[in-house]
Amino acid sequence: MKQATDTIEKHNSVIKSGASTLASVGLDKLGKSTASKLIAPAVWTIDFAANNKKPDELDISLYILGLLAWPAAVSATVTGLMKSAVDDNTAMKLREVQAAEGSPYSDYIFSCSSYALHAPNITAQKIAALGGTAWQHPNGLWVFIVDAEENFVMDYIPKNWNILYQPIYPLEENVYGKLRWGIKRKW
Amino acid sequence: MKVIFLFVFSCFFLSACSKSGTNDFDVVCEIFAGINSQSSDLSEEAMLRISVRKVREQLAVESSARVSWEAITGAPASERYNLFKYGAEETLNRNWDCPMMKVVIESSYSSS
Repeated sequence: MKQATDTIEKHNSVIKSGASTLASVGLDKLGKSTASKLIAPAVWTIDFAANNKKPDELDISLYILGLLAWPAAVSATVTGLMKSAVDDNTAMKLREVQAAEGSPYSDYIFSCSSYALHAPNITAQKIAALGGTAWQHPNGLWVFIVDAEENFVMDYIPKNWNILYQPIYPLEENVYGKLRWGIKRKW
Repeated sequence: MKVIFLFVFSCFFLSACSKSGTNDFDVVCEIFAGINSQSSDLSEEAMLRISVRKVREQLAVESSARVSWEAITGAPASERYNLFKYGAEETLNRNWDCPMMKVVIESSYSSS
């Protein structure tokens, strides 16, 4: 417990700043007092004023990591926004596919991108080799269908498709554990 | 201070090194180039056996290239190259081609 307390005491500045940014005092310690005027988080400044404590080397290391992480945080935000847009687009296209197939099948049709983290076409290949039906709708979305027990459906014929991957009858598994499957294209 | 600088520099260096230019689809292409250099007229069965073994040795289970090639073993022989190319291009988001792979696949089913 004492060790933990010592650590907290030692790196007081980091803990108070919540691993965000460095106070001017830290940059002063690095010999960059001019830059320090531009970045002056209150916590460390207060720490310096109240306790006369400057950040130590660990504090500074963490600060530098924080600086490196800043662009990452920004890009993560941008990526997040883009992902939301992509998700919305996929959801919209999926609704279109489900509407095309109609009830009762529509509830059992899913986007291939929801099944695995591969490119949708590769996921569709995988699904066909496992005994499922996957197809690309004219809107570009790759989808597949399951039954009420979430098993792949081998012989579903979609109403609207561009490319269809489906097992071939009679079902035949090769030595690599994959079923024989075929491709149909509407061109 | 030097230690800090060295640490930060090492982080950048390691991160740069981790992004090598070769992707898993190129690894599969190299496997087929190797198969082609050893034997130019393999049967379909032999081509699949050797390629799947090498792909499994060199690529992780979750690799898209491995998943694709394993799934494609069940597809019609005449479609295999185009299916793999299509998956590679969709994954890499650019044109991808492997003439050696195409030659090995096509010669395997034409000789069978």
